[in-house]
Amino acid sequence: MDRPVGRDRSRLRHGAEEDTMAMKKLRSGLLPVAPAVFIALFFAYPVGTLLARGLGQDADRLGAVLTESRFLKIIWFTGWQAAASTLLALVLALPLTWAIANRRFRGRRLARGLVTIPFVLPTVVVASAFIALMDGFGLDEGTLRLRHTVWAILLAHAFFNVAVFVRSVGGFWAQLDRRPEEAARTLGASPWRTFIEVAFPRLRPALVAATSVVFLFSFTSFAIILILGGPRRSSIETEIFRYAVTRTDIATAAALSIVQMVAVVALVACNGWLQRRTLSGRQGLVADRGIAPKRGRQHVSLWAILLGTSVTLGLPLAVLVERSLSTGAGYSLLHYRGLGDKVRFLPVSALEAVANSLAFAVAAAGIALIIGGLGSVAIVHGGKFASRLLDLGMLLPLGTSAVTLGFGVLITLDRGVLDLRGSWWIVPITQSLIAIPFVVRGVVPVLRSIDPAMRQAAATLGASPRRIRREIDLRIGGRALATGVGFAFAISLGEFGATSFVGRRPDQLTVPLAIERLLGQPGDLLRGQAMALSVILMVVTAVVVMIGDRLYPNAGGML
Amino acid sequence: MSGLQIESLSVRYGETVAVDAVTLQVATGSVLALVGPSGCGKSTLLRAVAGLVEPTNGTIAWQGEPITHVLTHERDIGLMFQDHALFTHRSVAQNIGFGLKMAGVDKTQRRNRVDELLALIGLEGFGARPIEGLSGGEAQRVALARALAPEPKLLLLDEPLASLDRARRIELNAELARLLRELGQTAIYVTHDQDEAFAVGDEIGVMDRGQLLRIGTPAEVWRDPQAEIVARFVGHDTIIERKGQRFAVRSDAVTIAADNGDYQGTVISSAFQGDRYELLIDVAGTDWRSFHDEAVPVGAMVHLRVDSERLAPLS
Repeated sequence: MDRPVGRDRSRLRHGAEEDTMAMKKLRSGLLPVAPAVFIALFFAYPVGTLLARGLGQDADRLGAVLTESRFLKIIWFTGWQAAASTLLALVLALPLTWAIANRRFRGRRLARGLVTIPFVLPTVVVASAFIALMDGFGLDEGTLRLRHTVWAILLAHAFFNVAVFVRSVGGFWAQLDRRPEEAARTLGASPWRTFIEVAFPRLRPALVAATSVVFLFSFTSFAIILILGGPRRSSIETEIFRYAVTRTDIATAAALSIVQMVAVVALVACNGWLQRRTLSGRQGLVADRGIAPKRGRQHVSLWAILLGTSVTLGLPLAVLVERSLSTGAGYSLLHYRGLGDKVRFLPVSALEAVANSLAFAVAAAGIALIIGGLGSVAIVHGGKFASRLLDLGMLLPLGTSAVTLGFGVLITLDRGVLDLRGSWWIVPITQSLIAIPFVVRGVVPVLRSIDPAMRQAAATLGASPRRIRREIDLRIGGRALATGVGFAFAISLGEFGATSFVGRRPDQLTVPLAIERLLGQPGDLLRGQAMALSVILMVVTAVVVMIGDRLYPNAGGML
Repeated sequence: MSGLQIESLSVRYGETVAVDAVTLQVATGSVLALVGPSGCGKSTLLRAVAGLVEPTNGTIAWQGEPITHVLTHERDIGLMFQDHALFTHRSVAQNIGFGLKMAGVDKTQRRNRVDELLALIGLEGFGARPIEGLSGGEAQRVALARALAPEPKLLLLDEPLASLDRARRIELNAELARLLRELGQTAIYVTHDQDEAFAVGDEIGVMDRGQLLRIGTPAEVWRDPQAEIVARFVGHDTIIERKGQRFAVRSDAVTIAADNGDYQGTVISSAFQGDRYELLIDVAGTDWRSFHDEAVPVGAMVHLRVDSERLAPLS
């Protein structure tokens, strides 16, 4: 029994080393398997098959798509409406972006939060809100007709994307040191000149990033164009859907998907190039450049901006709620009460669609939790090659449009053991693919920020690898994971593009699908039901996202 | 009335008074050095003169013309910022030429003037360089050249040397003082360092808690600081009381006597300064400073005589 302490210590250290080695084995071995198999089976295989078909057996259709004028018109329309939507969103966002960055006022945080609501709403709800708006203000017909015009599409896209500019550009701007601009003023530059010569160049990286994101969203927009554009306006996305589902011309749909994928890859590459090019050195950053308004004029302009933006963003949603309560003869809960009834154009009642949606959302969130969680741990702890590959694989669905994904799943998972067409699970699996990148993007940076010395310390204190993961990784990454899963739930609830391909069975009718079908039918009663369903979906989504935002602001890396 | 006149100027931020009824003049061609501890309001005063903050009360005038409500970019008053605030997205030459571009000076003239300024600050050939790679001292010079380029009628310098290490600061301070004098530039130079202020200022203003406590030539302020804070700021650390009147003890008021001095003390340090020794003497618990021609051993008891003519009465 001489020097027992020393002996104990050496045993402990020895044990810890063994543990670390065991952990290494586990890391490179089992951990990445489940997420890798899932991604390979449900993402890489369908999308790869789609690519192979479009470039292989259906290559002649690709030639037709790239030469025939009706397809070229569609490609051209997809591009210019995206550019116009982006410009409109920027114009609408600019005043509030400026105010949030440059003024300190009560409720600034609240304003930042509220402006995010349109962005997190399901696109079907946005489309409903604009239909309600046109309905409520009589813009369906007459000289100010919005219905089935490109303006309805542009306005809805702008409404949806204002938050991207306000939050990312405004957030960056709020941290830019004021003094270079003050220096410009003392050197004789007018306020306008100062903005052009000093503030704008420093803002450019953030502006480029936000513009690319909004352009990409508008380019791959599906529900808004399908619902608001009417039968004659179509973008690449809506054409893929029409060819694949309505006309069952898989070859043409596959060719259009190729065009879409190439365009998205080109856009992402172009954005990366622009980002690198405009990276203009280190900027002096401050905690908050905002100053309280002092003169009367400054108060007036601030309140005008806040009021104007509130009306622009609040009006469609307010009218949506109003329409859902309006019966033509006063207001009542008629449309809400009617949700339980079976109507002619839906295979099940709207209430059953709500139940379906909730069940799918729970399942999709569960899959996102398991696959996204395991995948994040594997990306952080795995071997270099496996981790890189998995990182890429789990983010790729983010750059793939929902329609492409749904279409790929539709044409591949119909054979042998993988015949999932009849399965209930096909819907939550497809939806979870769209949600997993958000989980990974939220959790991985948090796990990476954990000092490895902390894990080593825990190991020397006798914690097994399993215990380390539970006590350190899960404790620290848990909030980000929970938030990511919350977002997965919300994404699944509102998912429309991919679900419209795979959810073809009556018991697979989700709320967004039901809303789209009800909106497509004439009659005030059906429209009223669509509005009521939209309000329910809006409230549930907003609540889920707000809880997530409280729990862990800016999780999911969305904004 | 020539130069800048500030008349009972106040700046308030909500409850806090950053600048409290300051009145001062700066004659054309002269340099006023404003000193005071950090947070005393000297930077806010500068920002008010530049038009970057709006005064709550008072007026600012140039050659008798009020400019209180003139917009910053129309004031023709240059400001050199603490930490420089250079435009990191532009080259050295574009930074220096910015004010000239705003004034509508054409390209060739602009280039000539930029080259001239680069020569003046000793950075010939630096024009095409990015701001990113500059050393602290180089950035400081570029900031000075940028502020000087449009030849402002008044140049404000806000702790221009604060970000440099001590050795560079002393060197650049002397250079800056020489440059301002050669150019005949009217300027206000804000610093918290009294040595810097004495080196650069034709006049010294001492500020504390928003108020201007004393303004005058360096010699006037040193001989007759009037307020205790000013006395301590210029280095008179010892305060004594005689017949109900408080005095700051200037180092030139204290001499070592053979015997029968007014005070007795123990030498606690002696620093050789070439032509004399700086002594620190403990007199009943307070430290006195005195200069003496010969070395005195540390620990020796000495008699001190105080020349009451050289005591500075405090209010």
